[in-house]
Amino acid sequence: VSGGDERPVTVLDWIVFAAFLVWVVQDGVRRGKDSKDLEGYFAGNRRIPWWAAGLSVMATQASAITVIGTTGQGHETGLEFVQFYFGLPFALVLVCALLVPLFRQAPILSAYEYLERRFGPETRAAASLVFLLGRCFAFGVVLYAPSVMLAEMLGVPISATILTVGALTTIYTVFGGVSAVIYTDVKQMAVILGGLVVCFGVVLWRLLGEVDVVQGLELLGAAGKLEAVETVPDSLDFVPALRVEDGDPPPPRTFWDDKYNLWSGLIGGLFLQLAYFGCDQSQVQRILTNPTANESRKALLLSAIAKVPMQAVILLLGALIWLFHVYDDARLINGTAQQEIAVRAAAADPVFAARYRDIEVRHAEAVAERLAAARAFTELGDDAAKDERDASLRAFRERAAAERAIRREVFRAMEEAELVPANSGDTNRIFPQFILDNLPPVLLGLVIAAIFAAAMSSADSALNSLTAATIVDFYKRWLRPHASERENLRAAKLLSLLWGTFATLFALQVSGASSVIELVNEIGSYFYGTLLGTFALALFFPRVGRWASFIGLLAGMATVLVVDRTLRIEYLWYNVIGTVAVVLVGGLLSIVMPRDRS
Amino acid sequence: VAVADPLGPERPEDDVMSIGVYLAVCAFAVVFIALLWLLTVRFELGGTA
Repeated sequence: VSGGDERPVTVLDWIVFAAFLVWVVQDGVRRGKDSKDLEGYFAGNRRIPWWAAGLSVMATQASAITVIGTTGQGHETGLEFVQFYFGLPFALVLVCALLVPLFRQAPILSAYEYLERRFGPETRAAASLVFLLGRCFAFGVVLYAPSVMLAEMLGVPISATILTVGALTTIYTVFGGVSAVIYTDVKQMAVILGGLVVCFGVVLWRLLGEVDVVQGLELLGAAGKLEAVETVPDSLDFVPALRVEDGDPPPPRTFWDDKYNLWSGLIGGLFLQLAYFGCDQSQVQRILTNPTANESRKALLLSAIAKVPMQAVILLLGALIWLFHVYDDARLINGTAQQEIAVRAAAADPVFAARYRDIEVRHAEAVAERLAAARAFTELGDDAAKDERDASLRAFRERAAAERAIRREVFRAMEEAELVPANSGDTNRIFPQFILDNLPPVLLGLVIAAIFAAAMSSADSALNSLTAATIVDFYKRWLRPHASERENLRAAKLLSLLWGTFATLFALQVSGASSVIELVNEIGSYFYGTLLGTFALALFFPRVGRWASFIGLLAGMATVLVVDRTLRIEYLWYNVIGTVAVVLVGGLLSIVMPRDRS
Repeated sequence: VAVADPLGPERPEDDVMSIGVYLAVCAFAVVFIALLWLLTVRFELGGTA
């Protein structure tokens, strides 16, 4: 039974990686001189240029999970996931037109300050609390998830990578405030893009020796990796099915079960991205840092234009890595940690060893047959009849599906032997394994730095926005309303340190509990629709007042909770459901308890 | 929407983005999604060769 290869991370890679960390932290700490009060600490004295805020918006959204997970998803399911982002450009246009002017009517520092001006302190406190709860869970996961992969790649314990990302991010964010966050995000975004370009170049260079561009796309298409737009959903049954107990037969599929298609992406995605960019403090804070509203709009429109193409390219990179594996170096299991688990178990348990060896032999045969099918197609040439080419592509598709089934089988065997948790796989380990296997020294260090950069650029924004919401919406609002600016700044720095420490400790505790990531996504989708609904009430329903908005907010969360417990509906739709529930309840209540304009 | 922005230029009407910019961004998104759809149908098995 073969195990993981020797780790190829060299001294040169460590030097590149360490130089990047020193550069980022030193520059972040240096920015502290601009933060003399809360205006400087949370809004960069409103002097941040649009391009820096725009790149920071993109870096904040591009977490390490995006870099590692999206390429893995491209490898396994192709371009399908790009549909998740289809609502984003339209959402950003709406944020620019409707919400940017709203946030700039007064020099606010937290998105939820506006809600107090419009409704009252209860709605502001509840909305800020909703944000804090969702973001604080997500912060722990943003630290934990990439740390697992980085630890495997570097051959160090997970706790070491969690502590490195957590401590370094906390240091420069505590000292430098939002200016440090934004300008380190700019550097981090440059490194992320550089790392992706390097990987793209390497995989294309290796692939073009085997196939030309059109042949490569035809092979990818045959394997179902280019299904970027699904216009017809899996089911047109619009009555949602009830949830069933584990073990019971699943009900027939409905429209709401299909996770990614054009409609869930455009409608569910629109609501999700509206809530993320318009109501989540970690993004709204970018709008508040620019000198004018138009600078804020330009910052957001940069994402509106670049985000969907960037995600498509990252997914295509994953799909190209899959095609590369057709020709070279297809592994049964990606990721050294899982390989070692299988090797150790096989050494200790003869029954598992026999099963594993059988799977390994069949996988090697399936890989050879898939390669033969790919070569048979490319050798046909362009002159072959369409029927002949289609038959050849169909044969390739069958061989590709057979190889994938065997890779799934190995994880089933490991799950049954209780070596890995249920529903395990190696999707998130495909990209790390690829770069370890194929990148030369220095470039490998650069790409590892890019993954660290992606982790830090999301963590720093989470940290600064959590601090901003806590200080502005609670400390300054309720505890110390008359504190001096100096005292406020000291409290902000201390709280930033506490949030950073808390998230790092939380991430250390998460270790091993893979389902926490799903839990966090679920919690996030409970909240976003509710927040968006509350802002929609503020904007479009002038009759809605203090209590109607507050009860509407609570009703929105309760509705999403009940729907989640009873119906089979994919999470993107929760954002629509939450928004509609808040607007309906708040709007109807305003008839019996109208706004008190006095 | 022209609103008083205490942080922006003195004349709020100077701080309004033209609707043409928004339409251009939306048009770009629609064209990109259409290109992805063309990629899907061109390379799906049995698609237009």
